[in-house]
Amino acid sequence: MLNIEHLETVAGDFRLHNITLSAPAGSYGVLLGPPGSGKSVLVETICGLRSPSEGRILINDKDVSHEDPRKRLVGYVPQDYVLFPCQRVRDNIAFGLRSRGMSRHDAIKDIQWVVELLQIGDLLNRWPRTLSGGERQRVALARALAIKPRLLLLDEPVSALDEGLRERVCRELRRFQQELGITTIHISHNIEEALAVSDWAAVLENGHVLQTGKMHNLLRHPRNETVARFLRSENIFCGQAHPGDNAQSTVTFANQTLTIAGTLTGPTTFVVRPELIHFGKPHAPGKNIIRGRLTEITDRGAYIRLVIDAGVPITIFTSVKDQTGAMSIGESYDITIPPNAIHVLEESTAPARLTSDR
Amino acid sequence: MPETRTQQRKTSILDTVFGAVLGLYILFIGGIVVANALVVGMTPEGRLQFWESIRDPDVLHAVWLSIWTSTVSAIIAMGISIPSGYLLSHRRSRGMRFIDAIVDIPIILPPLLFGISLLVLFQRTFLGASLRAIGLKFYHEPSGIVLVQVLIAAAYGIRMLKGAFDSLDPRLAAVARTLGCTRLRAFLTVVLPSIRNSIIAALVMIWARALALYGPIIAFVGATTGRTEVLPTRMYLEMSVGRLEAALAVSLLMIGLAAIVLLILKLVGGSDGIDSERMTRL
Repeated sequence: MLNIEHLETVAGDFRLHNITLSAPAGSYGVLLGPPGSGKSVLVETICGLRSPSEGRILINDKDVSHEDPRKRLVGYVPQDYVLFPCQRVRDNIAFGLRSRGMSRHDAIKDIQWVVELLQIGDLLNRWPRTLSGGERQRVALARALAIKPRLLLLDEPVSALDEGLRERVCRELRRFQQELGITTIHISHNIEEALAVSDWAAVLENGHVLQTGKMHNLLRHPRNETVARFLRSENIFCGQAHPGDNAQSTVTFANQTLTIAGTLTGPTTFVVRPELIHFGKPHAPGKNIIRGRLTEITDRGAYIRLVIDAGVPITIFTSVKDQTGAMSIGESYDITIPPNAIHVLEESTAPARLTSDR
Repeated sequence: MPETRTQQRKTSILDTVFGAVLGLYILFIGGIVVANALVVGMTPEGRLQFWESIRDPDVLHAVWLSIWTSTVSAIIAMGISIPSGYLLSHRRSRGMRFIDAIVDIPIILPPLLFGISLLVLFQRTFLGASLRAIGLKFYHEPSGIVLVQVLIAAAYGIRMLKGAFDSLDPRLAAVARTLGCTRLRAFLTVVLPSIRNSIIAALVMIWARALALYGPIIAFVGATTGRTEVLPTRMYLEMSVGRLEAALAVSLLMIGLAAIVLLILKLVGGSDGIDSERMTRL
């Protein structure tokens, strides 16, 4: 539906570099990245408020790269919603239809479906300044949807809302999107938000798309350290890899040795998924068993976060019911890291040469 | 609770101090008006001069000339101020900063300077002669009054409206364009209505500034009674020949005129909600 090919946009001192993305029809995508990574510039380029210096934007296979924003039929909900302060809610929502030549009477009749969908009938006579954050968000969404856009772009749609509201609003956004089947791109810097709504996600940093894919795939297989750190991977380690037998390698890091699948040589960066690490009292040494002292215990409600000092801090997520026995800070424990808990980053800070089949 | 009370008390004291400052200023302005009225109303000479003034056809002509020139000038100056203020607000470059500084010249320099400069431009240069040749006359003409007023008052309008555009979210027009608007329609239907209060305030300021000018008007178009004499000019000339009561009578007329027009504009203006929104944010 939406295809972005080698897009470059200059915005002051900032530049988007060679952005290539694809959003299938009816999908819900999330652009993730820290502030200043270029998410908003990318969305503004898609809706036509910025002109690309290179590359193409295709909507339904039609090149719209330099088309006027009013002709693109792209719904845009900016951050903080930017409702028109001089118009009542009703006129804000009908604005797009009136701009396209419809009379006020017809436009107000034509917005009924979106008013009902978003349940904002009681807000129609209000001025934007009298609305709460959640109400503004709904009105801005209604205004964007009223023109029946081909593509919906949401710039941090829940960031202005209270923490408690965000999850509910995200669920609603997803429901509206599914009911309408509209291709949607949502900007966020919040991983939980992306997990709640997205079919696919892209991680941006400094004007580059670092990785795209399904959220669970990004979380389990981050391509590089920047993506891993942004997605809050807990255990990121650098070590020296040596190829071994049976398409396996050993990686030495902080006086510890791990066996990793694949033939690796040289400096290697890898992440270890904390929820897959086994934890227990010391027993006989073995492959991928590391001994260390327990230094931190944090109860996170659904699970317990432990930190073991094994030369480097290693984080473990363990379920509450598995830890009925007493755990003591300072005691020694063994942790077992199964091969499937280890993910070698394709692009290491110090590049590793991967010779295994990928 | 005690902290809240302390905070309330602090705010209250601050408001009292600020209120006292404002009150003194208002008292000062009110005192001037009352003093004028007393001098005119309490002395037989003053009363006589006042009634003579308001029946004098030349004074009535000056009233009418002041009203229409100020109104026409305010409309023309708004036509200059709105696009200029928008451009200065939205285009940031070294060149624009230079132009921005030039706009302040009529505010900083004495208005008389512009009257003299216009006199030189229209009477001593090729431009003036060319304009006269095609029938555009400003020297010693009421149209010259409008020219002087527009030249000076527009600077105030541009400065005020640039400030209003600066405080407006530039994304308003951008969102309107994604909804199907042209740039012009977005400007007319979203940007301008969003600064409605500031536009009315600028209009009041421009009109009042135009009404009050006399130095450059005397220099450029003179003060021919019944032709180019406006109220402030009349007041100045009455004063210069020692007719204090007559000058005060004209000043009362001006105060009354200004009060009526400003009241009408304030009533028409009402509140556009933008300023109230800003206040609620505070």
